[in-house]
Amino acid sequence: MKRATLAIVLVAAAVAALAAVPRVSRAALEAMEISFDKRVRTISADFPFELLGNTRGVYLEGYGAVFTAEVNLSQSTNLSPFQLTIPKEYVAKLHARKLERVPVLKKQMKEAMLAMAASLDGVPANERVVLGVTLFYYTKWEDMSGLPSQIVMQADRQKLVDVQLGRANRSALDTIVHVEEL
Amino acid sequence: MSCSPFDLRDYLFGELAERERRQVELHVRACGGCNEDLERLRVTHATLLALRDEEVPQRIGFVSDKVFEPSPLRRAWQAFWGSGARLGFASAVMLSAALVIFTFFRPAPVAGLAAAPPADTARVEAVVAQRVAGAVEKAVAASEARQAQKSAELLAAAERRYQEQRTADMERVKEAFAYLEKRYNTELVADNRPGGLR
Amino acid sequence: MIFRAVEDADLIRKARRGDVEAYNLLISRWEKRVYNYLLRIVGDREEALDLSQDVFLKSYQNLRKLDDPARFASWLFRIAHNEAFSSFRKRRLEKPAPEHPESTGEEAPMAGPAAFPIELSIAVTTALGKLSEDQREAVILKIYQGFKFEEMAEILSCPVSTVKSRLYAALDALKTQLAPLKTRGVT
Repeated sequence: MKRATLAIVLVAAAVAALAAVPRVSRAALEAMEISFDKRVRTISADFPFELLGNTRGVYLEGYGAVFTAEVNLSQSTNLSPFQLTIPKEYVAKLHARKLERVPVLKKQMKEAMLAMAASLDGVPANERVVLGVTLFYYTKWEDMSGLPSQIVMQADRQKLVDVQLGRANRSALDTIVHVEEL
Repeated sequence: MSCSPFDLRDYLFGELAERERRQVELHVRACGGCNEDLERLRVTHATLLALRDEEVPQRIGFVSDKVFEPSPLRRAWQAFWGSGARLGFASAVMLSAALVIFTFFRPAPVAGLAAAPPADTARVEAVVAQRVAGAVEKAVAASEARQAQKSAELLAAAERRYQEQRTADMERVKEAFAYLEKRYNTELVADNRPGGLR
Repeated sequence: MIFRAVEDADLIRKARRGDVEAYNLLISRWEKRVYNYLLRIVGDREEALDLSQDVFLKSYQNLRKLDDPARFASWLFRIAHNEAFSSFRKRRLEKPAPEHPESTGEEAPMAGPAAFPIELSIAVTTALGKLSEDQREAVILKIYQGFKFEEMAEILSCPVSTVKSRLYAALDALKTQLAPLKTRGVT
C-alpha cells in the first residue's frame, strides 16, 4: 500500500514538532474523525462507499492537523469458492463506477476540510489541514487503470476558514486546496 | 428448547399434519425459547437462500445422435487401439510387411546353380523373421519410451500450473480476508461510539 | 418446485425415440439446476460444467430405463449425485483436500457487526464448507433444489430418516454460524 507521500508529510512534521500542551484536544479531533467517517458512509445509498479504515486525526505542532482514512469507492462482490473469476462485464462496470466516484469523493473531501478548518479552533491560522485518503482495491481482479491509490489534500487553515465564512469565494477552493494523487 | 410438542424443524419444512402444525403454533406463541429457536431457524433458512444460483458458463447441448453415442463397433475399435494388444499387432504388421518385401525382393538365384535345399531356405527365413521381429520390438520400445518422457513432462507442467493456481488462490483469499477484517474493525468502532453512526 | 410435468414428459418421450432437439430443449430447462447443484458439491466451476455434460450424456443414454417420466427430476439428480461423488473420490486420490479459508484459526467475523451482502455470501459459503459432505448435500438438495424428503431418499439411495437426520444436523450447525447474523437493510 502506497503511503509514501503521507508518511513523508508526517515525518517532516514530527521532526518540527515539539508538543508541550496540546493546542488541539483529542475530543475536537475525534469529533472530526467521526464526522468524516459518517460522511463517507452516507455519500451514496446505492453501492455505498465503504469505510475500511477509520479516520485518524493527529495534530502536529507547528504543522497542522492531519487526518487519514481508508475508503473503498464502491461496495462490490468478491472472489469466493463459488465465484472463482469475476465476469469481465462486472469488472468493467465497477471500474466505470469507481472512475465516476473519484471526483465525488474529492468534492466531499474538500467539504470535510472546510468543516475541519472551521471547528478546529486550536489549530493556528497559518498552519494546515491535511486530509489523506487511501483507496482500496481488490488488486487480484479489479481494473485499477486510471484510478488513484491515494488522494492527499492540504490547505492553509486560514484560507479554508475564509471560504467557510464567506469571506472568499467557494470557487477559490480549487486553488486553495492542494491535491496530490498517487 | 425441545419443549415444543413436535420438532420445530419438521414444522419449518412442512412435514407436520394440520393439527400438529396448529399445536406448534400455539406453543411457540407462548414459549419464548421456542419462539427464538424458530426465528433462528427461519433466519438461517433465509440467509442460506441469499446465496444465489449462478448462470451456466456454457450452454450444454448435443449435436447429433451418431456423434455422442458411439456405435458398438467404434467403441470396440477404441478399446482395442488403446490396449497392449497394439504392441503385438504392430509387430505382427511389420513382420508380415517385412516378409512380403523379402519375398518379392529376394535376389534371384544365379542361373545354373541349383536352388538351395528347401530345409536351408526355411532356416534362413526363420532367422530373418527373428531379426525382423527383434528390430520391430526395439523400434516400438523406443517410441513408447519417448511417449513416457512426454507424459512426464506434461505432468510436471500441470503440477507447476496447479501450484501457481494455488498460490494465486491463496493471495485472493488473503485479500478477501484483509477486506473483511477492515470492515469488521470499522463497524466495531462505529458500534462502540456513543450515538452510533446511522 | 417448478416442474412443468406435462411438457417435460412429452420431451422425454420424444427424446427416447431419438429426437435430439427435444432432448436439448429438456436440457435447457434443467442445466442451471444441475450445474448449480454440482457446483456446490464440487466447488469448482470447470469441474461442475464437465460433470453436467457427463450427467446429461448419461441420462440421454439411459432414458429408456426411466420408468415414470414424472420422476425425471429425482432420476436426473440421482445420476448427478453419482457422477459428483465418483469424481470426488477420484480427485481426492490425486489432489490433497483444499484448505478451508477459515482454517486461519480465527473465528470468522460473523457474530456481531451487521453484514453486507458480500459478506453474507462468504459467510454462507464458509458455513456450508464446514459441514460434512453428506450434510452439505442434504442442504443443497432440500433448500436450494427444493426436493421433498422422499425424492431425496431416492436420489441418495438411503432411507428418509437418514436424509432427515443429516439435514437437521446440518441446520443446527448452520444455525450457530448464521443466525446471530444481522442482515443490513437498504437505508
